[in-house]
Amino acid sequence: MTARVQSLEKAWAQLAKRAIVGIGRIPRSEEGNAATGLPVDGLMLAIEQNSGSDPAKALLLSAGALGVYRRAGRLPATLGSPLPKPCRMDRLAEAPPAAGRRLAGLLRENHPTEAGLQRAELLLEWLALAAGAGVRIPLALLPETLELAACRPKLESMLSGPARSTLGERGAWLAAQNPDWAFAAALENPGENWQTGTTLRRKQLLQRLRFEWPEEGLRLLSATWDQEHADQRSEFLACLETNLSMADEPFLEAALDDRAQSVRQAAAELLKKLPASRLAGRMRERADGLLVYETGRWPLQTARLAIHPPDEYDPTWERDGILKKPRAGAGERGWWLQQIIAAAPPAYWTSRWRITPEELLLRLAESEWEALLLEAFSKAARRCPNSAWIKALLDIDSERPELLEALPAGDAQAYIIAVICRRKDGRGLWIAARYRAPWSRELTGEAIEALHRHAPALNTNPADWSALRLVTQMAYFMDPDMQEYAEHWLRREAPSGSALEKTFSTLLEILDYRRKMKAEFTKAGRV
Amino acid sequence: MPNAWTIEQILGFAPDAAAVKAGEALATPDKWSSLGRNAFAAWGLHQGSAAQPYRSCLELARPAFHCSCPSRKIPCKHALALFLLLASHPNVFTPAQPPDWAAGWLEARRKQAENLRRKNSVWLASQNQIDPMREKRQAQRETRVASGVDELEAWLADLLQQGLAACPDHDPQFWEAQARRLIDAQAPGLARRVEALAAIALRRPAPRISMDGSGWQDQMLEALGQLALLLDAYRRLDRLPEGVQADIRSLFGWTYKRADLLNTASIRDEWLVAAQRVEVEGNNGHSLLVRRTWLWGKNTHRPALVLDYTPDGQPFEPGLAPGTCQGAGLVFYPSAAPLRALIKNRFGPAAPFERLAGLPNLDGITKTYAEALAGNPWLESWPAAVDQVTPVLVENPGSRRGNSPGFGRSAGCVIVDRDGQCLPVDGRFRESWALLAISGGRPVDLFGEWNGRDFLPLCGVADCRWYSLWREVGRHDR
Repeated sequence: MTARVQSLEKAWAQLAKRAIVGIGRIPRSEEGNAATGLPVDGLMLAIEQNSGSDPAKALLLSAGALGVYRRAGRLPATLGSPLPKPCRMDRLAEAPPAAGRRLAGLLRENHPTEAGLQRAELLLEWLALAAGAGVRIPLALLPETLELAACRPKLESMLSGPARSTLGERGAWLAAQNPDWAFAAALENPGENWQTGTTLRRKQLLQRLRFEWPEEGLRLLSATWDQEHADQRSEFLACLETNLSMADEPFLEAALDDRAQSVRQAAAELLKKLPASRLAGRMRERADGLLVYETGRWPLQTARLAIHPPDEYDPTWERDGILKKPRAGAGERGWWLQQIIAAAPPAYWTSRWRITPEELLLRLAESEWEALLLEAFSKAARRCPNSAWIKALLDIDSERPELLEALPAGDAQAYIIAVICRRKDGRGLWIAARYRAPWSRELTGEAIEALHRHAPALNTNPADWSALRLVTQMAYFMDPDMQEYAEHWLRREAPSGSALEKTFSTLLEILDYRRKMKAEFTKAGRV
Repeated sequence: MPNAWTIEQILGFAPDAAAVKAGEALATPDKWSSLGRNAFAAWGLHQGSAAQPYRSCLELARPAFHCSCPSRKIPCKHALALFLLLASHPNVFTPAQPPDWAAGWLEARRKQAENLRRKNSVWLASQNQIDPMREKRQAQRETRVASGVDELEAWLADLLQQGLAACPDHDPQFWEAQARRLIDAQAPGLARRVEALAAIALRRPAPRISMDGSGWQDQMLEALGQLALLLDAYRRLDRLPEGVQADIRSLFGWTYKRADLLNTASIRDEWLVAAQRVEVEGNNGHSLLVRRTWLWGKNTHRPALVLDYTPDGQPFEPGLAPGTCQGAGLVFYPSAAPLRALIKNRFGPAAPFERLAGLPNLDGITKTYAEALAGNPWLESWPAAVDQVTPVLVENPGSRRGNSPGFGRSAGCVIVDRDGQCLPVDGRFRESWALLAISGGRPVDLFGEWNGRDFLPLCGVADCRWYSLWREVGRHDR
């Protein structure tokens, strides 16, 4: 501060002190304003003289005058440091204005949308559409988007992964300046940032690295592995699931000897996903003796599946993640059998004996261990996805919608369509409702027709709200271009005023919203 | 005959969100028939639920809306839809002569404008008569105010006697009682100042609190000092210059009649409509909506502020659309530093602007503020536009996780002009990140208010695009 500013501030501080303490308590000697050496002194003197007998008035008027002087006198300062580097120019175009307005409405939640629209799902869809169309988020909406994503993990992983292009150069530049938005900033000096930073940041960094540059992520993790705490180790290990490959196998095999139980479990889980890993090989060996398939012998004996659960617990199993103590109520041998079978890829059995999964499961049905082994095979099929197995398992027991997600999209949807057409009850619809990935036209059409057929059954009294909620959920995944088709079949289908009618109309609204949203990204939306 | 209005501006005229939704739903060519336009207007028919189709007509210059539907909103959803349709599908409107029903309304509007001009000249002639009742009312008011001022001065002296440190100990009744006495004394402006003192003493958040470290005692002393200056000036009102007298009267809360003003000379310029804010004001159960529109004169380089009021729940009259440049004649309320203005007449259509044509550097801002303060020392802040400044983040916000939900901590910003001088941005400015986002580290044009401590940006122009830097916060939002 210059000398002039200092004397001004000193005079002000003196006035303030007298005012705070109160006039009655100031001794006579301390009255009078300090001189500042500035032109305002003349004014202050005049004020004192004119209100000589009234100390309160003198103080207040002096404060008023000095206050105005202070405010008027503030000048711009010189910026000490050089300006930071400006952002690079964006190559992508901005989203069309109509799509931008829709995004603003979704972000702010006071857009005139209907109650019941889940903006989380719709935001993810908007970003996917934008990334597909090769456009960016409008500049003015970048901070709100980043701020929302910082609180919503799904949105964050969308923005740092598949929808990264929608942020553009501006988004990455902006995010680099705010630690909360580090997930969106460009990856710079990963090694350095890995050494410094909080656990949360390092985990985010590792996740991003695994998405874009898996080997580097593994390398950084193994470099500092020994110095990490146990909880950090298990958290970071979980990140290796992204882009898991045989390159990670040596590290994971070593992690099986870790001190902490959680780390060993996590490593074993990951290794089970790699059919070529040593752990998987060991599991196959162990499993070999447990299931024996005997082909039919002359004369006309049908094939048989013999099951020999292990009699005792081998200590070497512990390292590979097989727990000794079973869950409450389950027997020990069955528990061990289940774990071992679940750890071996199901394709092993079918290729070994050259039979189809259906055949094997048929044989399984005759055994007392059926339920247990079905559970085991399902787990195995989820870990190492195999279309034939999953279909066979679903045929037997379609209470496992999570298996569907392990199938590639085309197969899964074909399966659902088949179920809808084949079965007369609403089972197909029930499975479809749980399939949370974008639907094809065919599946949407079949589902709409099925809804039409089952409307009387759905229209129960009292209303089955959980079922109706499932119906509404479908609207987020149906093909939006089929909105008119849905309108034709479902509008006015349910009795007026019923819960089903409300459900159908919400479904149609959601479809309409999504259809408009999709259209805004095409040329027609460029208004 | 291009249409100058963009979709954003058109949506800005809508009275509420329901009208927006309804208007957008109707804005497709297949819902309308007999669409036509000429250089000043557009019209169409829409078949609604009534037997006869609704007839909607638009006048493009102001704009003005007319529709035969029973809705009381202006513009109704049909007029809004017609407007949106004009912006999105202009070629479905065939150029033609207006049909009879539209021609009738347009003609009526033209006659109305002419009548108004004639009325004004008649009124001016009548001004020379003296109204005896008015003088008596004024004398009565002046006695009341004088006694109110005496009482307030004694109250202030009492406050000082005990010392500012004792202020927070008073309960709210202490301040409210004094404010009520001032309202009874017909000085509502003084009552507002006392309420502001109460807010500082009870540390309620005020609209702008400086982050330069001054504590509440400094703010309190400044506010008290300003109040004392005002009271002292009132005593000597007749000896002060005209402009200062007008300022003091308006600070006391006495309003001017619009009709009185509209007869004074107007200042004509291309006015850039820089920013617009709608806020709720008022208490005692009557809440008012106030709409502030900031203007910047392209050639005169002076700011203007237009205030519109409407009772809560009713829509505003259509006004100016922010982001456009409108040639107009403005009449300023009398003041030593004129800022508040009324629009007397408009010339030509409004067109979007690409540049702010503001002051060349930040020195200009502080200088114009000082000049304005020299005229009216009770000014809080002064608006100005400045070209080519770069916003820079100086305070790195720490992680806000674990704190209360909200928009996260605002970034601490300064703005730097082309000479390397900088001014701090108001610490409470919520859209710092939006400002950084639109600038991307490059210079932008900004329009905002400087209050002697920090700068509050109201709008920015980056890459020839206008951005509003105020996000409308709904009544039920955080």
